[in-house]
Amino acid sequence: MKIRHLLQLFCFALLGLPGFAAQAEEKLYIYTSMKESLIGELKKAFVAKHPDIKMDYQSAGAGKLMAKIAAERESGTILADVLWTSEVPDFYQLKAQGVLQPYVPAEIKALVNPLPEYDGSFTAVRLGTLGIAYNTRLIKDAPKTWADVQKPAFKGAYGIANPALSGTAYMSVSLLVKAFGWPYIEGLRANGAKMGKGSGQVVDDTASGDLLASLAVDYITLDKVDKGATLTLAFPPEMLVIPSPIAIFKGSPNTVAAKKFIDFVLSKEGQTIVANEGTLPVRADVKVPDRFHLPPVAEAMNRAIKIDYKQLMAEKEATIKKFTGIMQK
Amino acid sequence: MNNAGTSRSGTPQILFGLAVGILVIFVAVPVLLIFFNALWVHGRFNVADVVNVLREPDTYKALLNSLILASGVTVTGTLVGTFFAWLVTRTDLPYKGAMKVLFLVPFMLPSFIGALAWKMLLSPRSGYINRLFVDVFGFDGPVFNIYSYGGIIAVETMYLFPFVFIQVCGALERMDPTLEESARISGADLFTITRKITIPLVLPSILSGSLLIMLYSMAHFGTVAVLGIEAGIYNIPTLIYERIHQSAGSFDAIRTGTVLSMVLVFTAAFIIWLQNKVLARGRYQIIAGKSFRPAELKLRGLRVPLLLFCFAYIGFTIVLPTTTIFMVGGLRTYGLPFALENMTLDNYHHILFEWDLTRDAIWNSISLGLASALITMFAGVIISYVIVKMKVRGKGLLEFLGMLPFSVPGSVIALGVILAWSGKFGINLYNTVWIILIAYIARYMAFSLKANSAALEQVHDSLVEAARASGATMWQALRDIVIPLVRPGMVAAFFLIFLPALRELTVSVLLYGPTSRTIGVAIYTLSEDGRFRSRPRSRARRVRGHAGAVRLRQDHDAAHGSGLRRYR
Amino acid sequence: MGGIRIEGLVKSYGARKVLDGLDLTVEAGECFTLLGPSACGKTVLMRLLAGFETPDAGRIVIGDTLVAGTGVHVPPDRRGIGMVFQDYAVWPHMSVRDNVAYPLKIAGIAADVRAGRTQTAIGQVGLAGLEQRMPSQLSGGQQQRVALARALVSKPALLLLDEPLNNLDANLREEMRFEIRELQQRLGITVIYVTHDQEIALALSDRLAVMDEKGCLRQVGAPDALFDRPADAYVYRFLGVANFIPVRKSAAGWRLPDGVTEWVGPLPDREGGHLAAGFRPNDVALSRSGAGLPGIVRRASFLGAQTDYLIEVGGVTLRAATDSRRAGAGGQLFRDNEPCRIGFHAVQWFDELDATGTVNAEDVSATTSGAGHE
Repeated sequence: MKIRHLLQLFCFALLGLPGFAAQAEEKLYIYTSMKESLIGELKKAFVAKHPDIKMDYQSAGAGKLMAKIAAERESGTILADVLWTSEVPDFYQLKAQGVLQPYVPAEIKALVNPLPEYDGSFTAVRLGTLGIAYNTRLIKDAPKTWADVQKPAFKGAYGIANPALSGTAYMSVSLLVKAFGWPYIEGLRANGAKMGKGSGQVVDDTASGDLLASLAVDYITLDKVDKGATLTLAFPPEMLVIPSPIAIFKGSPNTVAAKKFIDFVLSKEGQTIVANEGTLPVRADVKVPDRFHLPPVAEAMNRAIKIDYKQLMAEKEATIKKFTGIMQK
Repeated sequence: MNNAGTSRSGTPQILFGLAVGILVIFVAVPVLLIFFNALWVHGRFNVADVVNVLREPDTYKALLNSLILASGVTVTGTLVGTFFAWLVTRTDLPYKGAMKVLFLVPFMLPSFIGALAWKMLLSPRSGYINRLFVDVFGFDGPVFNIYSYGGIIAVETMYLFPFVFIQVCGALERMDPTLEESARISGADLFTITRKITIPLVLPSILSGSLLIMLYSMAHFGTVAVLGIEAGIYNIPTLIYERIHQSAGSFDAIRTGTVLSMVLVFTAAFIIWLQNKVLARGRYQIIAGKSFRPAELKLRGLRVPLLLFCFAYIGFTIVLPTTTIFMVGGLRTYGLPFALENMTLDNYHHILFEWDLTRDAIWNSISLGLASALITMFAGVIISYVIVKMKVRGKGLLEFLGMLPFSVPGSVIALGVILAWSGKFGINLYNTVWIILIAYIARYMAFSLKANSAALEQVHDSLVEAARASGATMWQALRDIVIPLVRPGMVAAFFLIFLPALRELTVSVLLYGPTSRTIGVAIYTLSEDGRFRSRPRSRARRVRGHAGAVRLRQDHDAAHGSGLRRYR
Repeated sequence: MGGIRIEGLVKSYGARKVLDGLDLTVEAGECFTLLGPSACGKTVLMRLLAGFETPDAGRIVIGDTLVAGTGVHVPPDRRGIGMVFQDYAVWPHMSVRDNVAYPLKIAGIAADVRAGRTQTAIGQVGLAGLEQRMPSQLSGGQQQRVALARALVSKPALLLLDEPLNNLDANLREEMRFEIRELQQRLGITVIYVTHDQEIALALSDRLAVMDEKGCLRQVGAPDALFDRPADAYVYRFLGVANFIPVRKSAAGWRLPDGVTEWVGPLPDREGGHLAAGFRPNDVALSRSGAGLPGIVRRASFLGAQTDYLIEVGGVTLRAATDSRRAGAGGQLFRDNEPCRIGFHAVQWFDELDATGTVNAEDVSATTSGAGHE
């Protein structure tokens, strides 16, 4: 390889790099932890409806997005206009730091609103539920209560995502502790329960049989079931219902477009897309397809363990520490 | 010992200034900036976090784990890499050209993919190999447990040994075989020659490769995250990852993470210092002014056994996990048994032909990989030249700055790059592809510095001085003499950068924007939220990209080979 | 053009002072050799001349140009020198022709002119026909010639040669020595030659300088002048195998270190009570009887044309060499442990301290020193 060839290669490489995006009409940029298929579908439908808005998104884990936001804030400006993840505590914290721009959607009255002291800083646009996913190839008796996974049938093969990495996992652990106390977690550990990396990984491991069951997020599990995985998601009577909020950043130059997007997600069309991905919508008039076997929204809210967000945030570090302490003993 | 850096002519100064500028601005500033932000809060020294980090027993446990894992990987990776490098360059082993390429395959795969493959094969409950032993051979329980120190070290070794392999191959190709031959004439056996002559002579390359393995492994997150958590094995990078991911959008939490990463920096600094101590004991200049003929060692009776051994190694560490990943990619969903009714080509079809993000991502990654590899390669030669061949004050500092980003986890680098290049200093590259390019340069500079310094160490000063005495300026001597002679080192640097850059994830996932998704990001997007089975699909496409890289490498080898023939 | 003036040159590495105020003038067109033991600073001086190092103090003037001095440093590529390195430094990735043509290419000489001059330089060093070869296809001597041709091709006024013949075998070394001398005289260039081999130095030089470990020039002059009239024992020792017999003045005359044996031979021509007689092995005349110091042959080595002896006399061991044929004809070939008489063709007188480095009379048995001090 001659130097000259290298230089040619180099110029070629530089040509390949896309330049700065062309300045378009109205713009909208979203940071979200929603999976590609959901946000992709929403984008398609939204852009079809508002062709004048150039919408794009960054889809990554909530932890990564929040780290990115932290660095952006430190250096001056937050790039995104809208944030949409499933980590409710993050939103409370951002609100406390005054980074969020309140917006109360017109349809708020028609929605199921799981968030207390609602002021429009962030709005729930979807309800995530967690249950016990188990591998039907290996487990014949479906678990019916949270205590069932402490039985010998699940010995050494029940997984929970690391609450230090997943806010959903943290909230679930925290709610289970609230409902059943720390002895429940100790009981799980005594039965050989394991801590996995992320919410996706524990479900993958359950599907492969590395775990027999796991504390699992609905849409992750149901998507795999849809594709043929031998999994079933069981919901014990006390349900874990965790909202996914959406919010606009203060100082965003595109608040108009941002509001349009939130309205769209909350519209019947938007909520139908949400429901079709295997999660509960926040509208009572939108039904989750039957193949997912999810309880209706109203029933889920009734069965849900009530969440005290203030306590949740105050105890986060201590709870995680105690949990990992037990699980890594 | 070229002192012409003090000469009055302008060009070299400008060029060296440029190289040093690249080093400082692109490489050092982001990392220093993030440490500065971590240690100084509102103009005050951040005592609280430092005390917390130092007081937390987890820190020490994690550091110990980091060191145990990194040392293990370094020892095994160096042995494996050196052995295979010697085998494919200096012996008459059959098919060694093909093997040289095959040994590089692991380097093209993200190690977390490898970790997942091995988890599928060797996890105690459901690993296919363990199941084979239990179900078919009637063992009582799993034979292997990948969730262990040994398992993590073995997997990291498989993916990191190319650091040593690539560099030692380069050094051995340049080495004077008469040194070996004269030892053989004086009656030394093969083992003695290797131990007493060959190994010591390529020591700079071995050590620089080991250093890369050590530092990489210390700051490596993926494998430990996938395989370690079940056995409660964590290291500094996984701790940092936890801290950063708990930021909730506030920089305060990130500070703890970055303070923690300074533990890594100090350890890395110590290791670099130690290596320089070892290297300082003797300077090894293998390409002396005298020229020589390369020769091969006849393996004779060992030829077939060693060939079989190589096949077994390649089969077990490369073909097996790669096939596993491809098979899983063909499953309708992750976790199903490998049965015909569960297999489908839809996944591959979707990623290759339907998902438009893939196309952009592949294009972006190839462009970024080429650009960063070329820039870093040339800048690396010049900076290494300053470090190795010039008597300049503070060149140790230059070397340290170059290695610095390598010793901290990628996510910390990415945060630093955001701090430095999103308008704070008047230049806003944020959300463009250029910021990823800068981050890649920062992240991979260490590869280039190490590969090029090792190559330069071996080029005798008199060759450059002869050019200067012939009337060549320093720049002309660099262009006409040094660069052609260190070309193997530069090529090594190019591939050390291009291959991992193609699949880079940690940095790009924090920096990508709407038009700048990379292959790593595409894979990640698919794998988040538990859609692992989708991941390998995009790999098929990427492997095509790699095939191009491999062809490139072969082309180079062919050119090099003909060069050697001309020498004969 | 081409002359060199060095004034008050100082160079230190850390605490080690390699050169301390060195003065030297080399005339244009002269072949000048720097002779000294390893690590004596001669290579440093060479590198200072070439411009690879900068002096801490002092000046270097090449021709009419100040190339190094306070605030001045002309880089190597602008000094118009040719240089041949100890290890040849032939570029392994270039053919013989490309190696030799490189200085012309750098100088921007037109391609046709370049080709002609390259060919001439290759012819001058006797490598015609090997232009296409790569360095790895050449023997050591041939590579050495490539280096020489490369240094000569740009017709430098000054050629620096740093121990260029060290790595060659004896025959080739001798051959190359004459070729260098011949080329230098034909082209009329100034040559500075650095070596620790006194034979090359004596054969090659118009003038030579002997340098000591401290970087001081002990003596500068024509080869025969230095050989015949060495300034001190150091120079004497450096220019060939040297014997020293310490002698002490006593009431009865001059005696050897054993205090008994009386000195027989030319009498001292200098003042002092502790002197040493210096002589080369072939300054010794051996006989079976007659006048001379009484000695015993400890070892006789027949080397063909010449026979070497180790002889013990008065507590001192000497080396002597005689012409085998003449000695044989005169019946003067000695065997081990035969007694003999020692006479001298020539003797140089030195202070004992200067010659042996000690005045301790009991400790002077090994006063024979070879050249080189390697």
